[in-house]
Amino acid sequence: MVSATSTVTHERDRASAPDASRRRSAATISPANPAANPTEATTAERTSQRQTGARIICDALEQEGVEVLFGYPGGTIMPFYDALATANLRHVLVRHEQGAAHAADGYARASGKVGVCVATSGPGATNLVTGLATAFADSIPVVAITGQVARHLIGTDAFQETDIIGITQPITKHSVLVRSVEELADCIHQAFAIARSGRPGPVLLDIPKDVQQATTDAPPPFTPRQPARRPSATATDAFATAIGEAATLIDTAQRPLILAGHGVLQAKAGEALVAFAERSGVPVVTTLLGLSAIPESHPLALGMPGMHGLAEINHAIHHADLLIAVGMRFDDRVTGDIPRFAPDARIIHIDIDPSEMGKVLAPTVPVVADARAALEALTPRIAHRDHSDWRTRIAEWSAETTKSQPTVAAPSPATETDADRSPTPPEILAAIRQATGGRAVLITDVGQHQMWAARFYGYEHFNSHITSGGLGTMGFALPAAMGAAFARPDAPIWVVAGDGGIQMNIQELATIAEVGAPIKIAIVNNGYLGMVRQWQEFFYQRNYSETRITGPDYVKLGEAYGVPGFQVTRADQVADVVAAAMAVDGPAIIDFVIEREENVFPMVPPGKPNVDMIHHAPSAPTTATPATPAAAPRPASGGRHAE
Amino acid sequence: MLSETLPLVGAERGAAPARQTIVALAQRRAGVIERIASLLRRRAPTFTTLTVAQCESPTQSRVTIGFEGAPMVAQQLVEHLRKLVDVSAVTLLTPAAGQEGAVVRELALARITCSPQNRRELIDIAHLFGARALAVDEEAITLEICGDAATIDSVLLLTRPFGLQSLTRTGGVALWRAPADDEDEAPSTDDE
Repeated sequence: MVSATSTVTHERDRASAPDASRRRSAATISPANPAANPTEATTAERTSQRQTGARIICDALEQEGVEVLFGYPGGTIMPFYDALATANLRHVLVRHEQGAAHAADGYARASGKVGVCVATSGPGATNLVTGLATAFADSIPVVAITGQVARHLIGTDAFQETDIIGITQPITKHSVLVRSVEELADCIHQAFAIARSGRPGPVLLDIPKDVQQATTDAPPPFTPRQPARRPSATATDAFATAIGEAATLIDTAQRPLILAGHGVLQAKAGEALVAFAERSGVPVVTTLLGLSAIPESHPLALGMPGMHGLAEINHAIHHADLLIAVGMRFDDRVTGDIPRFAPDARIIHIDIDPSEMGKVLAPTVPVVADARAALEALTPRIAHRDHSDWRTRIAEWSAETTKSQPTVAAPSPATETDADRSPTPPEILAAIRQATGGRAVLITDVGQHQMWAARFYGYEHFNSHITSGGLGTMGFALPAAMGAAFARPDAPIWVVAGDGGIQMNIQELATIAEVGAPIKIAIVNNGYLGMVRQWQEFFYQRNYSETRITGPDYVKLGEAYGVPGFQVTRADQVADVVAAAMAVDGPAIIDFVIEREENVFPMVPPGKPNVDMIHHAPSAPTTATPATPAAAPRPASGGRHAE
Repeated sequence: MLSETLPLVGAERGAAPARQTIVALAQRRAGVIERIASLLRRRAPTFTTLTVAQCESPTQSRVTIGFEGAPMVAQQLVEHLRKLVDVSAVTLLTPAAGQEGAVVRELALARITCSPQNRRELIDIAHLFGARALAVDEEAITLEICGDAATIDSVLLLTRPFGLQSLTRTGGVALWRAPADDEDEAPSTDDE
C-alpha cells in the first residue's frame, strides 16, 4: 500500500522551542489532544466499518487505560501520529527517544501501571535501547512501540531500517514484529499483559509503516485481561509446603533478618511486610530498590546493606542464622564476595520468578510467589517473637561504628560556621525532606549522590524512591521524573542527580518546561564523576583519569529553558533555597556545589566480603604522583569549576 | 527439627557438571529460535548442541538443547526458558530420566579414511554400533551413526586410528517414552 505521507519526510522532525504560553501543569493532564485536527484518512475511516492499523493502535492503548505516552515522531511512525491527533491519549514530545523510554519507566515505577513510549524506526528505535535495558534490569513494565519500514522493504537495508527486535532481544521480556494489521490489536493487548504479568518487564512492538496504514475490519470489542500476578501459584500444594517449612524456620531462628527488595514495592506489599515483621519481630533490611518498602522510622527498619550499606547491617547479615529474602535477587552489590556472604544463614527466598531460585545462592526454602501473597500467607503461620537480644546486638554494632568511624560526609570542624563551608549531602537531603514533609518522590541518578540519597533521606512513604538500580544508568533521573510527575501529581517530585548524570539527558529540561511539570532538580555538584573518582582515589592510586567534568552555569541554563535556577555554595543557604524552589509554580533547578572530594562511606572494596568495610580513604601513595592535582583549590566564589 | 535437617546455604552448589539435555516446544514464529539461542549464549555459555525439529504440532517445533552443567545450572536454564513467551513444555532430562523416561538419539555422518586392506576392520567396528556405510570409495568410507551421544563418541574413538576426514553431528533429539506429566507443561504466560 502506498503511503499518503511517505514522500513528506524521511527526517525526524525537530520540535520547535518550548512556548511558554502553551505550558500546562502536569497535574492537570488534559486527556484529549487540543490540537485535534482530523485528516482525510481519519475522516474517511469514520464513515466505514474498516479501521487503519494506526487507529487500532490508538484504540488499543485507550482500552488498556493508557493515560500518557512519551514519544518522538519520524518517518515510519507517522501514520500512528496522524491517528493520535484525534485519539483520547496524552502524548508528551520528548527531546530524545532515550528520554521517552526513561519517562515511561519512571511513570511505571511511580504508578504501578504500564508505561508507554513511542519512536520511529532506525535511530529512533535504537535511542530507546538504554531505556529498555534499564527497565529490563529493574523489571519495569514498559511497552515500547516502534515504527518499522514497510514490509516489502524489510531486509533491504532501507532508509532508517534497523533490526530493533534483534537489537533489543536480550533486554526485553518479549518483542514482536507485527506482520499484519489483522493481528495488531491482539499483539498490543498481549504486550500489555506480558509486560505486567509475573515478573514485569519491557515489551517491544515493532510495527511496519504499511501495517499502520492498512485497513481491516474493526477488531472485536476488547475485554480487559485481569492483571493477574500468578494467583494460582499460591493455591498449589508446593506453595503450602514451602510456607509451612518457611514458618518453621522463622519460628526457630535466633538471628533472623528480612531482606526486602523491589518485589515488595511491585507487589504493593508494604503493609504485608510491616505486619509480617511486627509479628515475627524480625528486623528489616531494604535493598537499594527496596527502599521505602517500610517506613524508615519503624523500629524494625534497619536500612540498606551491601557495598555502601550501613556497617551494622553488614555485620548483622554476616552473623544472621536466617535470611528471609523477599522480592530481591542477591545482586552482587548486596552480597559482596558470595562464599563469605551470610556464612551461617539459611535462606528463605520469596520471589515471583522461579529462575531466581538458586541463581546466586541456593535457598533452604524457595517460595515462588508474589511477595504480598507469600507474606500474607506466612504472617498467620508464625509465632509472635521479639528478638530483643538480636536487635540489641545490631544496635550495639550501630553504636560502635558511629562512635569509632567518622560519619559519612562529616560536617566540617566546629571552628567553621555554616557560612564558611560547602553544604554536605546529608544536609541537602535533610532540607528536601523537611521542605516536603517527607512526602516527596525522590528520583535519583547513579553515583555518589545516589548512595547519599539512599542513606540520608529517610523514606517514610511507600514507593517514594525511584532509581536505576540494576543497570545503573546515568541520565536516568531527569526523564524518569517526567514520568513520575504524570503518575503522581499529588506528590512533590524531586530529582537528585550528580553533575555528570544530569548532563546526559539535560535536553529534557525543554520537555519539562513545556509541560510545566513541577519537578525540582537538585544537582549535587562536585565537578567530578564522583563515584569513579572515589574508586580512583581508593584503588587506582588517585590517578584521576578523565573524571574531572565541567558543566554549564545551571542557573543560566535553567533560564535559557525557562526554568528558575538557584545555586547554593554555602551550608547556611540550603534550607532557604530548597524552600524557594518549592515555592516556584513549576520546575526549578538547584546547583548544590559540594566539597569536591567527598566520599561515600562505608565502602566494601570490590571482591571483598561485606564485613571488610572501609571507613577511611586508604593512605595516599608515597611514590605515585597523581596525574592531576588531588585536591584542586576550590573556586573562590561562584562555585563553578570550569577550568 | 526442620532447621537442622535442611542444608546450609550453598550446599548444593558444588554438584559436579554433567551432560544435560533439555527439551522444549517452541512456536514456529520468526525470532523464537534466535531468542532461545540468545538465552543460551547469555546463560549457558557451555551449551554444545541445539536441535530444532518438526513435531506433532504444525505450529510448533521441538527443541533439544545439550550442554554441560551442574544440576542447579540446568534447572536455572529450564526456568529461564519457561519465561520465554513462545516456549512451552520445558523439561530437563536428568541422566536417570534419560535412561528410563526418555529416548535421546543423534545422527552423525563421518567420512573415515580406509584402504581396501583395512576396510573390513572398519566395517566391523561400525557394525558393532549399528552404523551403516553410506558410501565407499578407494580412500574412505562414509558412515551413518545413529545413537545416543555416548555411542557416537565410542565409534569416533575406535575409528580414530583410521583417520577422520570429515564429520557432521546433528545434536540430540529427544522424546519422552510416555506422555509428559502435566506439571512439566509450563504456561506460556503468567495470566493463566
